[in-house]
Parts: sequence; C-alpha cells; structure tokens
Amino acid sequence: MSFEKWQQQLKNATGFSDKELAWETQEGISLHPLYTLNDLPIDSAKDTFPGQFPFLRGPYAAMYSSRPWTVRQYAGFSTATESNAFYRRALDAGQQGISVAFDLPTHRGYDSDHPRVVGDVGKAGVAIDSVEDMKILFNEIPLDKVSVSMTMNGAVLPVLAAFIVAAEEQGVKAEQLRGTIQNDILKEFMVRNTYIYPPKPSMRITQDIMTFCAHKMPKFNSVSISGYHMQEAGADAALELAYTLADGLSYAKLAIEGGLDIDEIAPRLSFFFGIGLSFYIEVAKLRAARKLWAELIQEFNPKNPKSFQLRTHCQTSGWSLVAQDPMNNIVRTTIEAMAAVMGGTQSLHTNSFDEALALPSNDSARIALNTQLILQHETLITKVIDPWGGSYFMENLTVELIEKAKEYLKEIQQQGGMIAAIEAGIPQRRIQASAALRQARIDSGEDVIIGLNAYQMENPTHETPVRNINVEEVRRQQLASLQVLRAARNEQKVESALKVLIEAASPSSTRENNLLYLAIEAMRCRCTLGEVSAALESVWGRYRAPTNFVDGIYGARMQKEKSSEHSQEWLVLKNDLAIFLQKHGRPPRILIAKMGQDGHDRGAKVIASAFADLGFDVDLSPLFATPEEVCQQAIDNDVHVIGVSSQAGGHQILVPELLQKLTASGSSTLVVVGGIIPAEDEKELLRIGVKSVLGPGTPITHAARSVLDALSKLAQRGVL
Amino acid sequence: MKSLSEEELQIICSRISRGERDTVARMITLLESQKADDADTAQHILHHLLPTSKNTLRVGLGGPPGVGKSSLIEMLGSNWLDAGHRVAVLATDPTSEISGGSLLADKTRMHRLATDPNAYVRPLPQRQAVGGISAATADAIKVCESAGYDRIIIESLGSGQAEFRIANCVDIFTLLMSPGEGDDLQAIKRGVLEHADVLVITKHDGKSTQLAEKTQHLFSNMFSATGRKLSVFLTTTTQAKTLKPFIEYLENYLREDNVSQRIQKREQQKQQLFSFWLERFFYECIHEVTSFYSQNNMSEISPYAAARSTIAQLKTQLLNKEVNVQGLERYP
Repeated sequence: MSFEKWQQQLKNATGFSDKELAWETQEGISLHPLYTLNDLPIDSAKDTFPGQFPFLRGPYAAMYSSRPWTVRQYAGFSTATESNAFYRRALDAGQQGISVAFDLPTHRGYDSDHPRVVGDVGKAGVAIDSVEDMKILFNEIPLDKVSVSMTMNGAVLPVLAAFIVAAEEQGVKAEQLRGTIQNDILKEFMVRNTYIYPPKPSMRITQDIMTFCAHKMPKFNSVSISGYHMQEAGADAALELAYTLADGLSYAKLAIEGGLDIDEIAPRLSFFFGIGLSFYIEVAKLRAARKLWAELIQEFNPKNPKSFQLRTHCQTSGWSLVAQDPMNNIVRTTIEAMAAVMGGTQSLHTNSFDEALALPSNDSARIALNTQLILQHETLITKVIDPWGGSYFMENLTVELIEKAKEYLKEIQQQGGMIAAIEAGIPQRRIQASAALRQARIDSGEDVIIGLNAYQMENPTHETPVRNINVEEVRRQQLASLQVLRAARNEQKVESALKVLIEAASPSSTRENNLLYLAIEAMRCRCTLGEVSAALESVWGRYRAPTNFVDGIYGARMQKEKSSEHSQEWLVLKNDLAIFLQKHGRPPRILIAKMGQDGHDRGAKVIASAFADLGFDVDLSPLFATPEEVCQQAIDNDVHVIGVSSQAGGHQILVPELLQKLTASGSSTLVVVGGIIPAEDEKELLRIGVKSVLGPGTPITHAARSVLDALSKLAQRGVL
Repeated sequence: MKSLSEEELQIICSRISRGERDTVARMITLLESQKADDADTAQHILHHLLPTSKNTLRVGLGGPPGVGKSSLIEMLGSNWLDAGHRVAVLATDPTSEISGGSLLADKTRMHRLATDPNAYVRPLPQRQAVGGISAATADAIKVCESAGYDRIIIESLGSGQAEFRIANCVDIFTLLMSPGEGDDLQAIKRGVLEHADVLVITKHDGKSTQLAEKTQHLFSNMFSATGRKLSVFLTTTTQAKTLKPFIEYLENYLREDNVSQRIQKREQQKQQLFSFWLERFFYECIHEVTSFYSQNNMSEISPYAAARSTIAQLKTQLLNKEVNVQGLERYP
C-alpha cells in the first residue's frame, strides 16, 4: 500500500504517469487523477462548521437539513398581464419566489413608445412603463409573503420605486417587502452593458438605494453582486470569483462613504453566481467564495457575525446550453443544479432546455422547475450539509481557487479598485481573452460538447416548438396603456416631480435628498419609467462605454492544435483569404454590428477577434445602434459584409429594416446574421435576402467559411 | 491601369466633390488597394479632383494607447461640428503581422462623429506601412477635402513607436501625453517629440491634477532650454470647455498673416511624399528581386556582395538620369 505503488500501477495500466494524465482547466488549475491525504490543506479544512467563521461549509448552521434552498425561476416576457399569469402558475406548481426579467427597453430606461426600441419591446422580458404595469405584474400575488427578486441595474430607480408604490397600493408597506434588487452596476460596465448613466452618477444611485433600503426595507437585499454575467461573457471561475468579490468590496465601501455602518450594509449584500458544467470547480467556487468573502470583509471591521456571511443565488449557465439536439440541455442543467446545491446555494434558477433557441415555452419551463423539485424531494441530497467537505480533492481545489482569485484581486487593488480597473479595461480584457480561449478549445475539439462538436445527431428532424413574442402587439398594448395613463394623471404634479429629481441630480445641488425617495414620489404621480430616466439623463447624459478588445488568442490556439478538423480548415481558410486579397487588393472587410438595446456582446467580440486573427479586416459598430446607423457605417467604412449579432430577438424587426436601408442607399453590402435565431425566423431572414444565418455554437471556421462563400461571387470593382 | 473614360472620371470627381459618401468611401478603398493597377487608377482620379481649398486644417494626433486620443477627437470634432464645420477623421488601426487582419473599433469610441451627417470617420488598417499611419492616409486627406470636409483629424496608430510620418501630412501634429509621462522621456519619446508641433497633456482632473501640471512644467522647461517654442496644453477629456485654449491655438494657424507659411509647409510635405513612395516601391521591388535571384542560384555568391553590387548598379542608372520624369501627371 503506497502512493508510489499506485503510480506504478497507473503507468502499467495506461502507459502514462499521473502527471501526464493531469488535466489543465481553463482556470489554469491542474486536476490530478488522484488526490490523497497529502493534498489535504489541513489548516483550511480542519474544524470548519456551517454557520461559523469563515463559513466555508455554508452560511447557516442548518442549511438544507431543515429547509432546502429557494426555488426561484427567472422569468418575464411580453406584457405584465401575461407574465403575471405565468408567475401565478409557477407559484401553484411549487415555485417559492418570483424573479422578474424585464425587457431591454425597461433596462435601458426607455418607455415602450421610444423610437430606439421598436425591435425590443417585451422581447427578452416584461415591458414595464409605469406603476400601473407593475400593479398588473403582481396582481393577486401577496408581496408581504412572496419574495421578489428583480434583475434591474440601469433603470433601477424608477423600477424599484414602481415596485414600492405598487406594493403600497396593494396595502403592503415597504418594510414588509422581501426580496432582492440586483442593483449591481459595476458588472454592467464590465460585461452586461445595460447601464444608462456614466459610472459616477450610477454609483450614486447604487449608494442611495443601499441607504434607503438599510433604513426602510430591512428584509430586502439592496444589491445582488453578480458574477453570473461574467461567466456568461466568458470569464473562468477564478475571474468570476475574484471580480464578483471585488465588486462586493466596492459596494461596501460606497455604502460606508454614504454614511452607513458596515453592519447595516454587509448583511444586506447578496451574491449571484453562474454555475457551468465544470462540476468540481463550481462546487469549489461557492465554498471558496464564502471563505474569501469572510476574510476580505474584515477590512471594514464588522461586529455583526451576519456581516461575514456570503449568501448567494445561483443560476445554471445559459451559455452551456446547446441549440443542437436541445433535449440534452435538461441533463446539462441537472448537473449544474447539483453543483450549485452541493456548493450550498441559498436559491437557484434552473434554465429551460430551449433557451439557446428562444424564451422558454410553458413545457420547458415546467421541466426546469421540476428539475429542482426532484433534487429536493427524490434524491436525499438535502440531507447532508456540505457533502464534499473533507474531500482531499475538494478542499485542495477550494484553496487553489482562492489563491488564483487572490492574484486577480491583487491586480485590481494595484489599479486602485474596481472602478479604476474597469476604466482601464483590465477585467474586460481578461474576460474576453478567457472567452476567446474557450471558443478555440471548443472549435479545436479539445473541449468536447455533445451534439455540437462530437456525436452530432445525424438527421436533426425534431423541431422544438418555441415561444414567440409578437413585439408589435405588445407595443400596441403598451402604447395604449401609456395613453390612458397620460390622460388620467395630473401633468402639473408630474412636471414638478421630475423637476425636483433634476435638481437633486445636478452636481451643484446642495439638497441631501435620496434619489430613490424622489423617484418614489415621481412614480406615485404616474411619471413613466422613461420620463424619470430621461430627467436624470438630462443632467448626467447617456453613457457609452468604450469597447475593449483582445485579439491573437483564438488564432494562436488554432495554430497550436494542428490535428483537429477545424484547425485544418483554419489553414485552408487562410489560403482562401490570401486569394481574396490578390483579387480585391484588400482582405474581406466585415462590420460586426449590434442593433437595438441588446448589449450581450460576447458572441460579437469572439467573432470579431477570431475573424481578425484569421485575416479579415473587422469593423465594430457601437452598441445599441439603429439599422440606419449601421447602414451608414457600412457605407462609410466600405465593408463587404455586415455580420449582425442578435441575442434577444431584436432581429425580427431590425434586420429587415437594415436590408431596406441598404437597398434604399443603393448599397450592395451583404448581410449575415448570428446569435439566437429560432428556425422560423431563420427561414424568413433567408427569404428576405440575408445570405447566411449562423446559430449558437457555430464554430468560427464554419462562420468564416460561409461568409467567404457569400463573398466569392463578389465582382472586382472600382469607384463607380 | 484600368482605363477610365473621360466621362467616368468626370462622374467620379463630381460625386466626390458633392460629398457623396459612398463614392468617397470607395475612393479611399481604391487608394488603400494593394493591387498596383488599383493604386494607379486611384492616383489618376486623385489628379483630377479639384484643387483643395487653402482654408482646410489638417490636425494629426499621436500618443500612446490609453492616453485619450479617441475622446479628444470626439470632443474636438463635436466642437467643430457645432461651429458649422465639416469634419473628417482618418484613424489608423494596427494590422496583425501574423494574420494580416485588423480590428477597427474606432467608432465605438466616437459616437457623435460616427453618426453626425456632417462628419465622416474612416478607420484605416495600417498594413505594412511604417510611421504610425496607413500608406493611403496622405491621399485620403485630399479626397476628404475635395468632398468638402474642412477640418481633418488624422489619428496615428498610437503604438508609442516612431510616429514621424503623420507629421509629414498634417499642418499641426499634436502629441498627447498622460500626466507623469515626462519621466521616461529620454527613453522613448525623443523621436516623436522632434516632430510634434504642440503637446496636450490629458487627464488634468481628479487625483492626477497636480501630476498633469508637473508634467506640463517639465516639458515647458525642456522646450525653453532647447530653444523650441512649443505650447503645452492641459485638458480633461470629460469636460469640453478645457479644450478651448487648444482649439483656439489650432484655429489661429489659419489666420491671414500665416498663409504663406502654411502653403510653404504643404509644399515641403509634397517633397516628402516622393521619398515615401520611393521607399514603398523599393520595398516591393526588393521582394521581387530577391525571389528572382534566388531562382538563379546564388548559393556560391556572398549575400552581402550580391546586395551591394545590385544596389550599386541600380544607383548608377538612376543618377545617370536614365530615369525619365517628363510627361508624368501633375500633383494637385
């Protein structure tokens, strides 16, 4: 019996040593085939208990042994009426809390009748323009009993205000409200892009909300510090961990600067992590997060033990869902849910299997919900707290992740904190590099995804029925409600409420008024969400974050992994590009465009950097562009082709409009579309003249091939 | 050369002078083309464009990445748009040596200029050109001026390497510096500094206010010690009003009593273009000659001697006036 003997046995059996069989994760952590007592970090693992500092094994003493995690499904679409019906069905079916998804115009502070949002109303969430919509959203849902989580960051003032007023008019006081507002603007500047104002005034909003909630809404979490979107944008677990906690520290500091005591704010901070398919890593990440947070928060000398506890919501990874053979996603989500639960999450959202295709249907949403109920009731998983505790491997991995995260935290500190680091583009570039690497690992076949780059279905005949939102119908209804609202309200009161807000927001203002308090007044007078946002915008301006780019990573990986089919294709493509250059005197030039309010730009950035690595000239459109602006940019930059990236359904209206603008301008620029495009839409887009539609999971080499093929018929031309 | 009929030439030139953006864009593409016949066609068209007004202002901007070039351009350009000018921006982006591709993201940092009908922003891949700008930039400036843009901003690559060539195609070359950058001055900035007409220190705000002022002081002292009369401006890219003195300085260049100096400078720059193109064609020529010789068994000859003798023969021919420049096209 010895380790050496095992090593020999392994070598005899496989021909490889244990070192040769180690697997390097995306985080750069080496997973050995076997862990032993020697790998156990005794200091970290010994004498640890749930509910005790540093909370490695769980924030609470009882964990799931008395009550399992909260099943909280994130949902919302089209109108408040439809979403309300959906929530009530889900509550009847066993869901325990509500999590509201707002549509992109609401996120970005636009009413449904704003000209820049025609393609987005009701599309990826529910459209909320006023208190009236909010009242419909929670109709017959007792807000003093059901906890409500709201994913809102940009337009957080009018949305939270409308929620408070809607509750008030339902007879529920602010102090009775339970739930969470995301209110995490830092990660919006980093990855998600649904900000409205520049960083500084945005942080003031966050501060005012934290202060208000600490005083008036004791049961409400005023910030949900989110790593989820970092993971979705491509961050590995170490980056997600480090940046989320760094954001958390920034908010704690901000609250203290705003006059709160650390013990007033720390217990009201909640966290939100994404859970992907790297099972062990995700379990370790939640354990590491709790321990690291308990250590980091000491900086502020909290007295209340609750201040050290990291409580978190988790969501299974949307990015890990595959459009091909989508039923497989049920299995993926189950495994991710298990990781979240074994890591000790406080609440959980499980994705529906069809979300790589569209918004969840009623059937897929039911299966997603049941996935959690099965884990809670049929598996015994809830019976033991922190079941991985003491594992040689898990304790070791937890420490390794903490160490990795500390390196990134140090980099942020050296830059002078998270805001300075974001301004310098540091986390953005690291996350993008991680995303490009991940894509290259998949495209080169190094990372296997069933149904996508391995074991593909031979004849994908099965079409998944998906939910489709009729944007024009939703807009019509929202516009009608807005008309009714504006006709019935007292315009004078509206104007004066907005004026007060503007005064309070102006930098020269000496008023000490809390902006949330004033927003509540405004929403009470039936100001709309767009009006409140516009009032603040008139003082602060609408922010556009500079775009950061990294290139070279995808190409380098493809050169390295020479064996795979895609790497071979990569070389063929490079050759074809050289031929194109000879014929046309320049490489093919593509404009990668994001239109409408959809700020999910991971796909656009990965495509842009990989195409540049291949040898394309790649132009980028600013985010939130209109079809008209994209058309003008294509003409001005004289590109051969426009690649539209659509992740939130906006293509249905915006792509036809783009084609129309191009035709009207006499431009022959080709258009291809990538992203989440349901099969029905694909047919329609191809019919109206889009050259190619590239769904989620399309390898870069295929995307480039189809663009090149479309361009191959291009004639040489001069100026005329 | 693809021969253009007189009529086609007329149409193209009048479209450009009417400021039709698609034609302007295609003309710049032709200037950028790596095919020799395209380049010839482009030059042919260029010669037929109307002579450009003397009252245009060409401002070059250089400086290391992250110094705030794009923000400054957005503010400067917006200011000029508000004053009724038409603004063109020619931005240079790096080309990967390995792939030959380029990422051109300038418009994500210039929102107003990217969408205003009186502004035209064109990102140009640098390709193999040296000196911080694309080979097409100098000629693209003329196209923009013919199209009625009277304020031209040329953004150099900003790699922090020598950005001398930009100075040869603008009226005023502005070098941007972050606060505190004077410290490693000796090491990297000398080459560029020699070509700069004016210095702008960015980020004169918040924590870096004092450092910015210190940097300004350092440069001012250095210039007065070396006898150069360079202005050093302090700006903050979040506040448009801080740009005012700099803009006044730029506009002052166009004042009446400066006309002859302006014309003289542009004339001198024209001379520089000859050596630029010569260099570029030589570069292409070297590739061809190398492959020709390597096909003709060079293995026994010393590479050094072969190169020496080739150039010597060429030089004799050139200096003996065996090269004819008679009858070549006029440069506008």
